[in-house]
Amino acid sequence: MSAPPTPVLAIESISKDFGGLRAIDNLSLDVRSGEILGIVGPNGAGKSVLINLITGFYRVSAGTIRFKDDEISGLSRHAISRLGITCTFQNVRLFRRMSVLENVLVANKGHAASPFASLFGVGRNKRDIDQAMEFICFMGLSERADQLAGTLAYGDARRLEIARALAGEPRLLLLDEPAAGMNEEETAALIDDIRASRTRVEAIVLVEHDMTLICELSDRMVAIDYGRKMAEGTTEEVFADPLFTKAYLGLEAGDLALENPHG
Amino acid sequence: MFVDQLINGLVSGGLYALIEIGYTLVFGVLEKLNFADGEIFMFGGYADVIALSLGGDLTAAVLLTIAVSTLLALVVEFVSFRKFRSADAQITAALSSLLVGLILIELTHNIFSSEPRSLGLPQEVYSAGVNILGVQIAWIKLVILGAALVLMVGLSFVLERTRLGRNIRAVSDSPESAALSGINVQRVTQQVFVIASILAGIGGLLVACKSGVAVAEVGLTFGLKALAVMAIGGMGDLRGAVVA
Repeated sequence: MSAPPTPVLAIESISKDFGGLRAIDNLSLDVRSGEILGIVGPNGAGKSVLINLITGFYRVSAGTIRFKDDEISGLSRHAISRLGITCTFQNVRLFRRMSVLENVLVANKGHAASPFASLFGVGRNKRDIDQAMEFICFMGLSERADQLAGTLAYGDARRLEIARALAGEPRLLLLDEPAAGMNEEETAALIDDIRASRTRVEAIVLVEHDMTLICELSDRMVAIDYGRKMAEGTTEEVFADPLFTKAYLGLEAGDLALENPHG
Repeated sequence: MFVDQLINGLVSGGLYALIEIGYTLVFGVLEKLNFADGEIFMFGGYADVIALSLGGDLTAAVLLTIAVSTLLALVVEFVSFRKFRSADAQITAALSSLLVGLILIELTHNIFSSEPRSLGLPQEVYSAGVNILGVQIAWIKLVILGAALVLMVGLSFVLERTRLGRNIRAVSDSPESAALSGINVQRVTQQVFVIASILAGIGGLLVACKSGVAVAEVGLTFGLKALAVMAIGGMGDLRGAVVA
């Protein structure tokens, strides 16, 4: 085949208006199979809105979002999740009154075909637990499996959120500012965790402020501002783009070499 | 008669617990108060009247109660709660369910008249009983106690040990995360309403059996008291409801 492979996610000229405010303005982008796509932009650029549009929390005002062969821009949130898209939140949202194990079990596939199947027989299925434990071990939380999620330390809570997201066996994983509120040490551990996770999903979209994290992990970057795409390409290309450096870092192009550890 | 009083206390405690769990379940999951629960409770009593007057027995009454409660739960959820889901609309939703409750009472008045309706249960139901520690205890009280216990233990089993229960707790903790994990939040919400409603309906049925009459206003008195109990037992905490 000479045609390029179908992207995992194809966003085609979407817009989102809140009242009179245009948060996303005619934005198009592809997420390709196997990549980690970094999305950067100043506060209020529309990064989180974009995530919310993909997961179905918001509805697009115009344009389409296609996931593989399905158009998902009109589907409900759980339907989108069941197709294989999930995300973690900027502010960790766990099931706080449930144990670590139960948090992961909730996300486990096989969402009860019928209400009766969910009521009988599948209470504490050994296979479900083994599967869930695998994701918990994968994120290094096996010793905390029975602990209440609400009592976890911040780094562990974030790890659990990722484990829960992976347990749904998604094909596309969206991470909304996973390093928010983390110190350098925690961020370094997080980078390892995300790197390990990429083999389990087809693609990852990473929205982040932390430049270390995004430079370390992204294969490709898209910079947005005022809901529009400002720059796109490899990390180096985006960092070299004068529009990006001016809008995001407030620097002239030449200054960046001093700031960027990889520059 | 200490033992006698103890049993009476346990019986009415069990009845309050049933309706109470309804409030708590809905409040815990949705952070909304469903005032119509008391009227579903009242309908349980009238389901009893209807079933018995049509020549059915208590089993028929229970089945009818479950059917009516399920239907009412879905109606109340649709009318009063689905449109008012945002946190700002909490009071609107609560008032709206109160209104649905009042409509149900008026409806009952029109159909059955406002006077208490006798179930016409034979006298033996109340007199016959078993002798424990020298105290005569009517079967009906034991049945109520047993039913309340079974339903409460059953509910806690469902909540703690089944996928349905886990989904309910997940929605209660974080609806956003639940939806992202592939849970149909809308469906779980309906299931919560139905469970709460069936428990209330059965509670109402048992109260009607105990007193021998169905009364249209029973939902108001019982419902308000149960609300007070919930405030003491802890808003939204299921264990509190049972202990209280």
